[in-house]
Amino acid sequence: MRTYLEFAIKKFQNKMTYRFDFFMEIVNTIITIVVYLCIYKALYGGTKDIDGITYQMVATNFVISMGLSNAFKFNEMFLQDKIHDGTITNEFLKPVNFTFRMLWENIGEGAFKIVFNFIPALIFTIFYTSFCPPKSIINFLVMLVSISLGYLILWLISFIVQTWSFWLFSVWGIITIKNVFVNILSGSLLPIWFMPDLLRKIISFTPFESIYFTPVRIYLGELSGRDILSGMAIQILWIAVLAIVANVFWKKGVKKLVVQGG
Amino acid sequence: MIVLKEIEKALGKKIVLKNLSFHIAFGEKVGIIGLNGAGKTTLMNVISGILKPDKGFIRVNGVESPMEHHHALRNIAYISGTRPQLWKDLKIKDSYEHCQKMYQIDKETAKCRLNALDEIFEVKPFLTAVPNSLSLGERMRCELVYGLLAEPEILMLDEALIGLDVSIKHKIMGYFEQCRMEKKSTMLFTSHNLLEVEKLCDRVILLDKGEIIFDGSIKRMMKEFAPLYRIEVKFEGNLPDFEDLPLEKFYYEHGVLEVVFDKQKIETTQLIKHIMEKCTVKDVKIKEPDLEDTIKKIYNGRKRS
Repeated sequence: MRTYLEFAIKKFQNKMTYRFDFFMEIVNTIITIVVYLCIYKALYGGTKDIDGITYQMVATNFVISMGLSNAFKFNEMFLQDKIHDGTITNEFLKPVNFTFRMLWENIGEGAFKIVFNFIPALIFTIFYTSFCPPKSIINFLVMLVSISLGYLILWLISFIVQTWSFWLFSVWGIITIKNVFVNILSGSLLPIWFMPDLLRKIISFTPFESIYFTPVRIYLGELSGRDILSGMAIQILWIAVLAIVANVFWKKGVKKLVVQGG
Repeated sequence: MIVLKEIEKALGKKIVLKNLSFHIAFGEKVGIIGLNGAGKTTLMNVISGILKPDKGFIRVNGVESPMEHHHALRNIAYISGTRPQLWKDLKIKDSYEHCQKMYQIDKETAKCRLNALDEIFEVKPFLTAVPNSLSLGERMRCELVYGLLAEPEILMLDEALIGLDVSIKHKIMGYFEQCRMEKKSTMLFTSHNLLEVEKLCDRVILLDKGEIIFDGSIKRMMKEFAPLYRIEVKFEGNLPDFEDLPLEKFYYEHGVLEVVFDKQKIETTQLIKHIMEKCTVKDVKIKEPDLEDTIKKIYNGRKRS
């Protein structure tokens, strides 16, 4: 465990050396959030709420889900590159679990981007528009836990698609499509509140809702007491299911590599 | 300790390894040689566990597939000239730090080892660079240090000395020779440079199309298969008469006599003595067959049969 944490810390430090990169990313995050907030401001056009959803709630949803989805981006071609240049086999010969190493390095990168991308963007947008405050300190803290679980779901979905590069020459297209699905269905482009009932029902049976929407609802106090627990239970359930699926693909892929030599 | 018994491996439809069996004891230095496509790298991959053999029995330090046991992996380093281990986006020193963490070496020991290795590989100037900004030789030196930091019991080098300058290569060879004397680690070595193999290995395994065609010491190989010796003699006076000496051939051109003979039939000294008795010799040049010639002969012999 210590070793894996070290990987995350190293990655965090490593990212610090590319400052220009992250400066540009802050600008990118701010622009996307501001553009979407402008659109919704215009759509609301002064009305207080639509179906009980206020502009502030929408703005909060955007900043959390879109800000985080920018912060949680990582190199999804990593596994494919490792398989293509053959260096993946070297990783198997290291006395650490390669998947965990990948995960922790991505966590390190995510932590870096939260500190140096999400928080600056957040501070900027606070001056630009008004948000809902968290329902309570406890809600805020629980949200932090829920966001971590959401990250794991996001990571596992990405990892599953990445493992397909054991069989496919390029997974770039699939990853792009996957990202469109994640962005739309997780509510980071269009808040899930405004989706048609049928679609909302369908989404509630997918892991996408658990990524950002559950934390947002915990933050706003839309979920309380027992609902928070069940919301997080669903998150954990999805993590378990996705982890099993990921493991199956990973084991099969490694076996293919070991038997056929890549 | 590496044990292979009746190992077979096919990649696609091509059978790359056929019925290989051998033991490597702790501390042995084994060179694996063969032509392109003879199966050298595949054999290394099978031993390291990256490839699973289709048939046969394999144990490396008592473990069937080291890949699945982290404690076994801590004792194996596989350094390949074609597949870098250093992470592309990490500075060399960060990679080394990861290595120290992964192999659970304590900080002070790692520092000492790095200092000691730096004397030979001279990697200190590259520590803050990323691998892609280095030249092939510089990167290879960093790779070697990375593999050696963990002081593995089993060291596998697959074409790991490519791209190195003559001067630094000399030092590195010296280092490996010293390792050979100390018998601290088992070493498996593949290279196209037979001079390196000759210097570093006690034993060679010669592969041809996935089969072992020779397994034993270099000395034995030379004795059994060495092609003919040649002597070039510059002399004054008449062409000496060789009477009934068991020579293979001789040529005479521009005052230089070239004699080809088989060492198992006649000793060099005996031959030279004979020539010196018959005429005044100005200069003698003895050409011993080297490993390369020997291997060439073995392969040619196989082709004919």
